[in-house]
Amino acid sequence: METFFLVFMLVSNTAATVLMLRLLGISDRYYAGRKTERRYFRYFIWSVIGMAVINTALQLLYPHRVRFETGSFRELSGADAAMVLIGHTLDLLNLFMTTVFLFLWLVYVSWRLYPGRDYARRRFWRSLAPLLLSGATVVISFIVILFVRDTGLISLISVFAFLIIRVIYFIVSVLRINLYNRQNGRIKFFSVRGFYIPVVLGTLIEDFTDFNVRALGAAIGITFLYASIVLEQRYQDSETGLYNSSYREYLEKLMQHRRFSPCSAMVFTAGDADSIKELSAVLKKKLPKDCEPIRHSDCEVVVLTQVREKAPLYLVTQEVQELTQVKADCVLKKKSETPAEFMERVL
Amino acid sequence: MEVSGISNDNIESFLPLLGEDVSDDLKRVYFRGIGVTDDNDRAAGAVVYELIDSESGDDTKSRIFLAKYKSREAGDLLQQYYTENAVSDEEIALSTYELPEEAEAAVFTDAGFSAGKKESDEIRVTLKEIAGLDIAKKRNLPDYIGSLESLSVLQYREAVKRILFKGKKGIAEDLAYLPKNWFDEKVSACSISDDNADGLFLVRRTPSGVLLPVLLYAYGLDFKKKLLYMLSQAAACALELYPPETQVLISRKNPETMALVSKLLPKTGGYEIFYGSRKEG
Repeated sequence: METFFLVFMLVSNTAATVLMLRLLGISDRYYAGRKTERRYFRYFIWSVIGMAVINTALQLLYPHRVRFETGSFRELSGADAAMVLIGHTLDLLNLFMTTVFLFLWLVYVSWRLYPGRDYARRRFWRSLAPLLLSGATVVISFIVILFVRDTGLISLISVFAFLIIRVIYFIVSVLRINLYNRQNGRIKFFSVRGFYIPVVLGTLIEDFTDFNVRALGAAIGITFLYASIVLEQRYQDSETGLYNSSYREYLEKLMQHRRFSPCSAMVFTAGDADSIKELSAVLKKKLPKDCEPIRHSDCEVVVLTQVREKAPLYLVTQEVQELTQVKADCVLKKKSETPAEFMERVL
Repeated sequence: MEVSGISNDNIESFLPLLGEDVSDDLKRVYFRGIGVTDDNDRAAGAVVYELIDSESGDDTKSRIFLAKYKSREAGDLLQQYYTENAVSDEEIALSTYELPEEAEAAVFTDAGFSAGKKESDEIRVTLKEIAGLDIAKKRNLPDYIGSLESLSVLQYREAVKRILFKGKKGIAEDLAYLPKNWFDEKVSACSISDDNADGLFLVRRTPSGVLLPVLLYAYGLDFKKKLLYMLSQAAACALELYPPETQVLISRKNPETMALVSKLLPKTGGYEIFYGSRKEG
């Protein structure tokens, strides 16, 4: 049985590592133009590789659940004592890496949803403090075990400390995503459930059984996240970076199922295909977050919004017209119109 | 007697009836005035109303908030002009009134409007009362909170645009059209992150010296803290600049403002007003 679990662990952690290394290799392409987000995403991937490597070392060296074997090892000496010490250290590091993983997830998701140096700077110490505390717990636990040669209470305290800190990071990240959804509407192309479910399942399975799947769960979660980013790229027009006609069809399907209903639209018509690039650059700067800019044809961009009044639309069209030589129109959805009828009128 | 719309050409003659604040409001995009003059060309009455949702996909509504007339005849003429001209010109689907005196409302109730009484959405407090609140005593505000003066016109426009796109406009239907200097730039506060304003507390100082909070909104992380910091910033500036007896007129039209005012000023209530409505067309 022990051999089975050992082999399972090797396969699981190897799969996680290979998956993450592959992702490292291909992620640059899809993060072009978003350097900081790419950087955080890569740190995130490395934390999973770290988890897999440390867990493998721990299980190979000390196959039993070290942290549940508490007690004095003063009677041991030489290599035996060193093995126990190394095993407990690796176990602490294993727990610490999971905390690092969740910390980096919080950093990534905060940047993804609320990019900006000021936001990051203001929350930096608050976000880092729990991680520093867990790091300090590792160091203190190691020193105590080294000199006292008793894993006893320290081991148990450190486990609970890590658990609490992990839960804090988890909850804060969920709250942040909920806050974003409330303020800006549901975040698009960001598979939150696809991330959380494998991560939580992997953690619970590893905590309560002998199956080492934490790193694999994290790797699968990140892969789902990445897949949703790739999907977003498929809906982007390669020339302008705006949404393409496939995205318009996707929205029309959502409208049929009453999951999306635009309230207004702005239609921008550039003079020629060259001017559309200039127009799209301006639109990316000037449009608020919850607008859907779709390249409708070679020279036309339609922006769907949830705004119900003309005045804010005029603010945007005026700004855009000040910077480009385009024609702009604003269209409001009538109360009696269905979304499909509105789209027909706009297009 | 002669009835006509109030415009820049004739507003001076209606000033005693309207007051300087309402006269100032008539320069705004969605405010309309109807005036009646007697045979000696003296102002005999005026009605002022605000259009709501007039540039949206929803039906246009009007809110009549001033109706002053020296005789019943003048009042009837005003009401008739409103019904026959204003309603069709502006495509008003629902007319409402909110007036402080029952006598003022009489011409409307007799013309098919419903009639009722309620507590006003507006409350009046003085700066002296605000000075007693905890938010006014808060010091050491973070460096990202400042006055509206610290924003450029471009930053202000960008912030208003973003807030409008979130469906918020405070008590100003015409927020999109109001320039930065329409507000009291020293008392109004903002929150800045990465060179963009992600929170605004816009306060207007009316010609008569009343402070009128128009918009309080913040978004992004820590938005609740930003709201409180901006309130503190504004209160501190107002107390420095204006005498303690300066009036502050707070409109509790939306539930968030109602909740905030109930928390900060629980003992302050509105005054009695007479209100009613009529479906048009």
